[in-house]
Amino acid sequence: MDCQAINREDLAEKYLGHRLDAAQMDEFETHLLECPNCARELELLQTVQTDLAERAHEIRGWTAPKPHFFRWQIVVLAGIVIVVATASVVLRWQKTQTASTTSPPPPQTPPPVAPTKAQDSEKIAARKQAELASPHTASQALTSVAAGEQVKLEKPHTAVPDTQKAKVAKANTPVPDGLPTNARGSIDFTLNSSQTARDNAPSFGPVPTSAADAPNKSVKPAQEPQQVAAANSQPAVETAKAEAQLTTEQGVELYKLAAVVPPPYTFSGLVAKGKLPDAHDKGKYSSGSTPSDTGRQLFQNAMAGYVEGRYGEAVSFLESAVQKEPKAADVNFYLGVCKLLLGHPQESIAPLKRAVAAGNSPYLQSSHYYLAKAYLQQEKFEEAEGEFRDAATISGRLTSEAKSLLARTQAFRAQLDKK
Amino acid sequence: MVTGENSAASLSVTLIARIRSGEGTAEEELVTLYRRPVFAIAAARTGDREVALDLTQEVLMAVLKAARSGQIRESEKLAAFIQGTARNLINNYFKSRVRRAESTLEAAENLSNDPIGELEAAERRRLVQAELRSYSVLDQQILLFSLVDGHSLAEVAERLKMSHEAVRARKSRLVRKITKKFGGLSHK
Repeated sequence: MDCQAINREDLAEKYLGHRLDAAQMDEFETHLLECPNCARELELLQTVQTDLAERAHEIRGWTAPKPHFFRWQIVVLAGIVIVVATASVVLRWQKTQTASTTSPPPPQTPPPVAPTKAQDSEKIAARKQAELASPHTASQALTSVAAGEQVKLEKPHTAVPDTQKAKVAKANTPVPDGLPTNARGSIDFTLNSSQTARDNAPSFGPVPTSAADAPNKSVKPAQEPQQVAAANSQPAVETAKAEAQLTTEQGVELYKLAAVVPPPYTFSGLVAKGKLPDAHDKGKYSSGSTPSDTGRQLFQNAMAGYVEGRYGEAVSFLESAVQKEPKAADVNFYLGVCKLLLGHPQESIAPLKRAVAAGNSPYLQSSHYYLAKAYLQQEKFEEAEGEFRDAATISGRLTSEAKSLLARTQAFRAQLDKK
Repeated sequence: MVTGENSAASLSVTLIARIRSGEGTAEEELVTLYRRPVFAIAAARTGDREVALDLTQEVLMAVLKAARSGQIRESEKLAAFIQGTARNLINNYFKSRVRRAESTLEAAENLSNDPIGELEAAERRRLVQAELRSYSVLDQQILLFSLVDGHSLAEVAERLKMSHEAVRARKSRLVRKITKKFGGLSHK
């Protein structure tokens, strides 16, 4: 008997378990007396045995564990949670991306003014004719009727409206039905961040059957004489492009291209202190009379209003902030965005250009992108394409969207040029 | 092990010759050399440490007596002689089931007079116990059922609702771990 055989056949354990016959036992014991290593290992095994025997009752009393079952449950549950969380984040991101590409908030059609009987009868006749002439639904038929008309799109934001209102004043054509309008009767390009272009795709309801109906449409508030006069005074409005009339489909496409979703803002690292100042304070801040005011504080106050949708209030703070930090990319960017959201695309261009000029900031791509939107709202397609192109070349959140909008803008312009 | 056995045999021959010549240190040397393995054998056979201690003393005293009186004819087979003596005395113990009285021989004092060895052994036992307690419930149960209760691996596997292979692997790993960790601790 040698050490290897003892190890190989677990003879020590068998010896302790009295599982060796007499001859094997004698042989093993003789080897033990000659081999200190094997004797040591046997002693060790005896120590283990003794300790286990002393605690046998305790060890037996322990509930036999269910190996790995609970751990597997935890692992599976954790996996499910991770997958669900990831999926929701991805879906939300996709939704946000889609929303910023396309459509506006659910069209808030102002309560229509009761039409005259003559108008009613004309509309009913048109609807009947449409139903008879086409296998499509009545609304589709009416849409096609509307599409046949040459309508002028009023420019979405109040800055653009100068152009649009001039056109409207000339042509007396309404905003196509279904497109959302703002308080001034212009197309409202502003989308909520939760809205998608598809959600908000204009659905054309009752459409004027003739151009004569248009001026009476309730969605079109009376043009303010001052605005119209101002619009007429602008030579740019009189350009050939501006004069081009858009069909309803084109109007919808332009609407989708130029629609603006407020870019997100979080207070990461810039926690606003205290509540917003009241009106009195605002005046004080904007005048810069408070020595403790810094551009950052004003910016934070502006952003507090911005995240709650109070863009006008944000603009007042941002304008004060930009005086203190004229080259700050974030201040200029959000000032431009707020102007755009308030319907002043013309006024938004300067701060957005300053944000671009600030160079390689986190706002560079977004600045190009919203600059393009501002140009689109003014029907400056070439400039818009240039800005989209710049935005598309920068790697970031808006890269793919900028590429998509660039292609669509080019197609849109080609369509207009062909016409 | 052949070389080891040869060297052990030559050592035994020399040792017996020295004892016969009346050299006191040779007797101590024999006791130191064989006390622990004899105790291990006695403990394994009887399962009682106190009885094993008594039996160890009896075995070693009998061997010393035989060595002094020249009764060990094949001194190169000292290990086999000790083993035979131990087996006979242990069997006698089982037959009589009577606890032997403490030996009054002078040499008996020497048998347990190894404080350093005792301390080392106690420390090793403490460390092994701590190690065992650090194992999982399942591991301790596997060792208990196989080493103490004497169940086969298949029985342990069935009892713990595990596969035979899993039990074998775990037990093998545990024994190897203990042996590697404590088997090398020096002791006399």
